[in-house]
Amino acid sequence: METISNAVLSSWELNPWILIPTAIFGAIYARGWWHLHRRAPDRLGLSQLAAFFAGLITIVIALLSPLDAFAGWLLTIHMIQHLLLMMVAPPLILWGAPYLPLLSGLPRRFSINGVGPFLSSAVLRRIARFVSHPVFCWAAFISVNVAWHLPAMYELALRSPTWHRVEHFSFLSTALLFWLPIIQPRPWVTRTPRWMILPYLILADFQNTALSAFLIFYDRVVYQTYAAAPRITNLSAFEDQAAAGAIMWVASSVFFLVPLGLITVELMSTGRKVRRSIKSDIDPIGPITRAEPAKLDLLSFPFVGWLLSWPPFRRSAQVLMFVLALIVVIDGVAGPQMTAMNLAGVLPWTHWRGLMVLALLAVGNIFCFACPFNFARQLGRRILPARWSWPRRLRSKWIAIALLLLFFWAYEAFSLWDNPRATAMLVVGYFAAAIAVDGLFAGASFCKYVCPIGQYQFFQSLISPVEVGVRNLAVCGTCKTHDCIRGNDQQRGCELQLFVPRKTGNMDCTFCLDCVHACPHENVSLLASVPGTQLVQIARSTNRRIKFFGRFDVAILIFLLVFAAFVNAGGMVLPVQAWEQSLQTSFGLESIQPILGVSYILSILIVPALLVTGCVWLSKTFGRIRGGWRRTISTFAPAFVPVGFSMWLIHFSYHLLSGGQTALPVIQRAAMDVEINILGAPNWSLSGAMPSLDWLPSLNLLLLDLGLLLSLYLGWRIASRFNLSFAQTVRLNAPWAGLSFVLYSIGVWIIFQPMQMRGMMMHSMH
Amino acid sequence: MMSIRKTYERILCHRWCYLLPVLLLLLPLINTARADGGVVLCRRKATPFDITVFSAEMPLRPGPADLSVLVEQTQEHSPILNAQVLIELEHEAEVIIRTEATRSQARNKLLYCTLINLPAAGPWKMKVLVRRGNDAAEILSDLVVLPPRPVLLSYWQLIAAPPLIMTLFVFNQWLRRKPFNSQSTTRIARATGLNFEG
Repeated sequence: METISNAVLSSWELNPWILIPTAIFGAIYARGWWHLHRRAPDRLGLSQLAAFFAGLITIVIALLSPLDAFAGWLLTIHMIQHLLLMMVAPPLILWGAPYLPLLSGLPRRFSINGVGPFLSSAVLRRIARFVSHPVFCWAAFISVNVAWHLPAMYELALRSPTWHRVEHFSFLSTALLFWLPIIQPRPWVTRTPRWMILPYLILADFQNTALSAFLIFYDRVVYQTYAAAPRITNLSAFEDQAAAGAIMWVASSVFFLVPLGLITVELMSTGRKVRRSIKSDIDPIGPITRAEPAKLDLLSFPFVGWLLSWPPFRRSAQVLMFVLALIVVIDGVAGPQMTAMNLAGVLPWTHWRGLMVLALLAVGNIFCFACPFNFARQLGRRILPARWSWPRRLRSKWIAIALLLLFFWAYEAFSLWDNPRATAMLVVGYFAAAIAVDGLFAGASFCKYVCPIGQYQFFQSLISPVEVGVRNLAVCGTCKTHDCIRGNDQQRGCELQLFVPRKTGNMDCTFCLDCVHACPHENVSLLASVPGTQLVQIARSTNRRIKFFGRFDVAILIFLLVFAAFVNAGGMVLPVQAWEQSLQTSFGLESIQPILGVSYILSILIVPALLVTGCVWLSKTFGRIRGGWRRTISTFAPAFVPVGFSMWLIHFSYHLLSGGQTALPVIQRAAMDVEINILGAPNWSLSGAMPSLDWLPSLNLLLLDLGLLLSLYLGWRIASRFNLSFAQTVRLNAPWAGLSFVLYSIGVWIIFQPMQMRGMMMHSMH
Repeated sequence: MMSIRKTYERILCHRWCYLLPVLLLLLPLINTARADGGVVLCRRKATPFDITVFSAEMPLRPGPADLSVLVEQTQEHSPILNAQVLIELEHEAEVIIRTEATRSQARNKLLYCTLINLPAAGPWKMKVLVRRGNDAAEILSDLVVLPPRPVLLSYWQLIAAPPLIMTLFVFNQWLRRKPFNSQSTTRIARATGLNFEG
C-alpha cells in the first residue's frame, strides 16, 4: 500500500496553463541566448542561461509541486511557496539578463514590427522609467505583500482559484520589479546611486519583520481556512501560523541581508563606477542579421513528396471518391428514405463537409485533388466534341454565384440534408453538368467557371497552409518554354490557365499537380506556410494580385460565401426556426415556404447588400475616396474570407463531432442490404447517442476569434496599402472592421444557441 | 546526416513559430480536474472515518464541479489511501448523479477526486459513501448550486481577446505611423482604381 509520504510527494500537477507558457518563455530565451552568446560570449555566458532556467524551474516547483497541493492546508507550506515566488525565482530570472535574449529569441519580424514600436515609444519609455524607479518598485512590492496578507484578501485567494492566481501573479510581478534595482540586469540602467539600495533593502526587511512578528505573536489563528483545514501534521493551526511567521522572518531576512552585505562590500572595497555606460549597454551585441526562412517544400520530403507527386496516388483518391459518390447515389435512390438510415443522408452532410473544411484548414484543397467528378469530365471529353472555347462573356464567377444562390436556397427550402433522394439527384445532376460542360468546351471550364463546390474550395483554401508555388522565382525568370502552363509532349500544362509564378495563392487551383510534372526545371512544388499567409500576401501586394481581386464578380462571390456561412449556420439554430414558425402562424400560412423564401432573400441578398453598401458609403465619405463603388467593394472583400471560413469551420465541424459516429450503423445497414454481413448488424444506438461536447463552445469561440482577428488584420493591411495618414487609414478601414465585428457577434450568438442535428435519430439538442 | 539536420533546422526556424501565440490561446480550452482541496463543503465524523468534502471553487454553479474527499481514520487522524469513495448527488427535480471519486484523478494524492457536471441550479443532496475492507460509512449533506453565470461572463477571456488584441495592434500601428507619401498613394491607387482626395 502506498505510504502517506509517497502520496504527498507524488502530488504534482501537470498544469498546461503553467507548463506551456514556461516552456515557450524558456524556448524563446534559449533561442535568443544562443544568437547573442555566439556574438558576445563574455556578455551573456552560461551562468545567465543557468540562472534564467533555474528561475523558471523555481516557478514551476512553486506552482506545480506538492507545495501548491498542500498550501491550502498548511500556512507553513503556503509561506514557502510565496517565498519561492518572491525571493528565489525573481532574482534568478533577472540574473539571466532576460531582456535582450527574449527580444532576440522572438521571430525577427515580430520583434521589430510588433514589439519594437512599443519599446521605442517615448510615452511607454517614460511609463517604464516610472515603473522601474526604485521608489515605485519598493512601494509596489511592499504594498502588494501587505495587502495580500490582510485576512480578507488571503481568504479570498484561498476560496477562489482565480484570485489565487491573481495573488501569485502580483507577487511574482512586483518581486521582479523589487529585485530590478538590486540585480540591475543588462541593459537596465539606473540613475539612482548604488548606495540607495542599502536603505531600500533595510526598509523592506523592516516591513517583513513586522509582518512576520504579527503572525508569530498574534494570539489567534488569523486565517480561518487553516483553522478548518484537516491537520495532516502534528502542528495545530496556531502552531502552524507561528512556524510560517518564523520562516518568513528568517528566510526573507537572509534574502534581504545577503545582498545588503554584498553591495556594502562592493561599495566600500572596489570604488567601482556603478553607473554603466549607457551606450555599451544598449548595443552590446551589434546588429542581428538572420535570413528570412523560406516556406516548407513538401515535395522535397522523403516519401511524402514522392507519394504526393506520384500520379496514380491522385487517381486512386479520385477513384475512391467516385465509388463513394456512386454508392451514395444508389443508396439515396434505392435505400430507406429516413435520413439517419441512408448513406446519402449521413455521409455528404455530416462527414464529407466536416472533413473537407478540416482538410482546408490543415492542408489545402483536398476536394479538388480527389474530385469524384473528374471521371465525368473525362467521359464527357470522350463522348462529346469538347472543342469550343468557353464564351468570353461567361469567363467570370457569375454562373457559380447563381448556382450557389440556388443551392443555398434549395438547401433551406427543401431541407436537402433531410432528403436522401434529393441528395442523390443533386449528385447525379452534378455529374451531368460536368459531362455536358467539359464535353462541349475545351480546358477545365467546368472547374473554373461553373462548379460551385470548386469555387467554395478555391476561396476557402486561401486560408490553407499549402499552396502550389515556385521554389525559386529566378529560375522562372530564365524559363523560355513555360511548360507549366503550355504543357509539353509528355505532360499537359495547367488546364485552368494559371501561370505558377503569377498565381494568386490557391485561387482557381485544383491541386492537380500537372504544373509540377510539366516543369522541366523541377521548380514547382507544394509549399507550406502558416494558415492565412496567402491572404496576408494578397492584402499586402500592390501588383498583379490586386487585379484579380479587383474583379467585382470575385468580390460578390466572396461576400456571398461569407454571409452564407452565417445564414446557413443560423438556419439550424432553434430560435430562428421557432421565429420562422411563429411568423407562419401569425400570417396564417399553410406552408412555411414563403417565410423561408423571404427570409432567405433578406438574409443572403438584401441585408448583406445594405451592409456592404453602408460600409462603402462610410468608407468613401470618411476615407475621402472619389468614385469607385465597385472598386471599393472589391478592394476590401478579401479581408472577409477568414471570418466567413471560421463560421463554416465551426458549423461543419460541429456536425462532424456531434454525429461522426452515425456513419457506422448506416454503413452496416447498406452492407447488409447487399448481403455483406461481415460488418455485423447495424448498431442504431450510435445514431441517437451524442458525445459530450462541453468543450466545444470554447473551441468555437477561439476559432471565431482567430477568424475575426485575421479579417481585421487583412482589412488594415489593405487600407494601409494606400500610404494614407494614420487617421485616414483608420477612417477608411473602420466601417469594414465594424462589419467584421457585426458578423463576429452573430457568430457568437449562434454558437450559444441550441442546434438542430444532422443525420441523427434525434431532432435537436440543447 | 547533413540533410536531416538541414530539414530539422528548416522546420524549427520556420515561421511556424508564429503559431506559439495560438498555442497560448488554446489554453482556455483545457479543462482538467484540479482538486487540490479548495473550500471545505462539509466535514463529518462517520465512525470509523472522518470524511471531509472539498470543492475547488465556491459557490457551486451548473457545469463542471471539482469535488474531492479526504478520508481519515477517526482515532489516529491519518489519511486513508485505499478506500473506495462514491459520491451521489440528487437534485429536487429527480436528477441523480453517481460517480466514483478516485485518487488517480486528484492532484493532491491524499484526496479522492471527481469532476462532476452539475446540470441544474438549486438545492442538491449529497451522499458520500466510503468503503474500506469491511468498514463502510456514509455522510449526507446539502449543497446549494447557484444559477449559472451569464454565458458571456463565462467565456469573457475569449470574448475580450479580440478587442484587446485589436487595441494593441492599432496602438502599435499608431506608433509606427509614417508621414504621408503622396507618390506611393498615387501608384497604388492607380493599381486598385481608387482615387483619394487631399
